[in-house]
Parts: sequence; structure tokens; C-alpha cells
Amino acid sequence: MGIIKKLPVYAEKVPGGGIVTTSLEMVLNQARARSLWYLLFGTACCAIELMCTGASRYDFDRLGMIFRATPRQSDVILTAGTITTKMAPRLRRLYDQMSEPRYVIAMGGCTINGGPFYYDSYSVEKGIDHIIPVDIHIPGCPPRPESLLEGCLHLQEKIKKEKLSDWQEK
Amino acid sequence: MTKEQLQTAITEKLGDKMTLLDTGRHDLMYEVKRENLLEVCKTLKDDESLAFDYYLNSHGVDTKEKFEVVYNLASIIHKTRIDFKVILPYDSAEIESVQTIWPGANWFEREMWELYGINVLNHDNLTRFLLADDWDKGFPMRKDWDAPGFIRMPEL
Amino acid sequence: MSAYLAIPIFIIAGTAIVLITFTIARLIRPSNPYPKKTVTYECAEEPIGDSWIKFNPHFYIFALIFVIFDVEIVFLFPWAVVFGQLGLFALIEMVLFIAILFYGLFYAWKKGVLKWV
Repeated sequence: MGIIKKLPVYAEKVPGGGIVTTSLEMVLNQARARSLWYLLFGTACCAIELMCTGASRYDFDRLGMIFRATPRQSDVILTAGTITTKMAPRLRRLYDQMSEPRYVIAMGGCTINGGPFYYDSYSVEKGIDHIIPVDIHIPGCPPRPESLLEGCLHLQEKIKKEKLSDWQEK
Repeated sequence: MTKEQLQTAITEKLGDKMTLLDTGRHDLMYEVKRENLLEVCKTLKDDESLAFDYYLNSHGVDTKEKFEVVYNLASIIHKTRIDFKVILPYDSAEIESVQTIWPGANWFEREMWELYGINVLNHDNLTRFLLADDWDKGFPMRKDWDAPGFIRMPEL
Repeated sequence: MSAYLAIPIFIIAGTAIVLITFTIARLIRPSNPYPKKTVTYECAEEPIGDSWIKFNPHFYIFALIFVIFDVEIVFLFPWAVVFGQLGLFALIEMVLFIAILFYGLFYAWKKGVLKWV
């Protein structure tokens, strides 16, 4: 809708009107960061750690993150697991079907550069950077739940620093 | 059934077709020639003292000089296992399908064809199903396979 | 202030909350549809086949029976409220009413309608 895209333009014209834009940004960013719903995308062993982090001892729900089974209702895609050449077009399609604003957390070594499958593997995509744009990389094989929670907290920090134009445009 | 009993039973029934290679491992390892394969498999399954009715696995091996096809079977009644291999040279890598004897062999042979290029005769559906949809880069598990993006482990 | 004032307040408040939140969301959210995004979701595969699926007509029959007995319950509630002040006549009349409707239920039961096909 047009109104919020044009708000900064009109707010600049009024003296002291910038405060409207910044406080609106702050409110919206804080709201968005604290309620990231992630797409359940576990392909391999990192999915076990993902499930473990979502369970009761290290909880995802206290960060506001609930799992969704469909990309239409999710903000974040947590790619937990190895992506093979056969899976890559499906991952791209899922990312395309998410609505903006959308983020990607690449969990585990396999999604960073192929991980343990960097050598001698004929069918593993060495890193998902060339398939979808990644915001946060979490190293580990698999990363401990504390690592995963820290990665999600980093993503929250990243969202809180965003400007309106970042997620209103493409 | 212990290994020695199994060894005697095999020598009795199929002594001329299966040659013993190795007894040091957990299961016995035999070698079978390609022309005797179907007959040996039928005997292994139908005979009461052997009764290998549970087909576990078959996979290809590419040593640098030849292909081998290794079969793993188990017998539920006698509680024993056996392995045997068929050695195929590089230029005639063909083998008959054992899916008429054990129907579970269907997908394992398909995988063998897809990754190694070992042609399986009398198989009803030899198509690609493990690799990517538009795979056109050959048979990846062969030792001489290479493709852009394939990084071999460097010798240390 | 009559006690019935609560009803229009609830209706107005309920509608207003929904309208306000949807309007705010509509103003704030970015909208950027492109063809790859709007394709039907089929677990990340290319969608094949029709999206109209066959619908079991037994749902309709169940809904029909539900409506009939729901209307019966609507009649039962006010009767139950003033039951103390009415006499034996009201009891017999309601028993007859329920018996007539039970006859209909019995007929449906024997016809096999209550079994989910």
C-alpha cells in the first residue's frame, strides 16, 4: 500500500517530522523481530538440533519463534541440513513463495560451504549462498542449541537496525 | 548355524560355483562367476538347508581395475548371513537382474546402474531416481569421474 | 442502562477490532507479487493436477441432521428456564415433542446415515 512508503517523504517536509518515521520504524522493527515465525525446513542432522532447540529445555517460543509448515505464513527459513543438487530447485521455490519481509538463517556447516561434504562429493551443493540470499550463517556440525539461539538473536539485532525502505522495497 | 556349518553346506550344494575368498570377516565372502549367478541365487533361496530368503543389499564397487557387484543375503530360519561378489571387467559391465528371485533387488540394481553404469539386464525400470532431475554428467561413483565443481580430497 | 446494552457494544467492539487491525496491516505491509511467488504451494514441487478436489457429500447429510436437532435444542432452552413454574402438562408436551424428533433420529439411524461413509 502506498501510505507507508510515502510517509518518510511527507514527514521530512514538516520540521521535526523525522521523529514520526524513526519512532514508527522502531515500533515496527521491535514488533517484527520479536515474532519471527520460521519455516520447518530440516533436511538432515541439523534438523535434530532444530527440534531439540524448539523443545522445552532451550525453547524457541520464548523468542516468539513458532514453526510453520508453509512458507506463506513464515518470516524466516531456517535451512537445517545438507542441500543436494536435487533439493536445490525446491529450496529456491520455497524461498520464492515466502512473503516479504523474509530472512534466511543458514544453519550448520553444510549450508555454509558444503561442510564435511566439501571434498569427494558429487551431489551436495557447496553452500546455499548461490541459491538464496543468506542473512545469518551459523557454523557447527551440528551447531549446539545455544549456538542456534545466538544466531536467532543476531537476526533479531539485524532486524532492529533496519530502515523502513529496506523491507518496503523488494 | 555357525560359519563352519554354512561353509560345509555351501561346499556340498554349490561347491563348484562359489569359491571361498575370505573367512576372517564376520560373514563368509564368496565369489561367483557371472554366468552362474542366477542359478546360484536360486539354489541359495530355495534349498532348505541354506534358505537365504532375505535379500539385504547389493552394491557396486569400483576398484581401479574392475567392477565388483557385492550381494549381501541373510537367512532368517538359520540365523546366518553370507556375502558374495561378482567380478566384472570394465569393458563388459553387465549383469543379470535377480529381481525375479528377490523382488527387493529392484531399487538396489537401479541405484547400481545410476551411479556406476553397470548395465542390469532384464530389469523393468532402469531410470534415474537418486540423482538430480537434469543430471547429465555421467556415472558419479566411478573412480575416473570428474565434473566442474567436484573437489577431490587432496593427498596429505 | 438496560442489561441488553452489552450486546451492541460487543458487536461494535468486535467488528471494530477486526477492521482496525486489518487496515493497519494493509497499510504497513509490503506487497510485491511476482509469478514465482504466487504459484500454488505444493511442498516445493511444480504443482500438477487440479486444485478442485472431490468432496464427500456425506458432510451435507450430517449438517442437515445437525440443523434439525439444533433447532430442537433452541426450543428446549426456554422451556428448561421456566420449567419450575409450569406444571405436568408442560413436561408431557415436551416429552412428546422430543419423542417425535427421536422417531426421526431413529429412522436416520436405521437407514445407516450416522455411519461415516
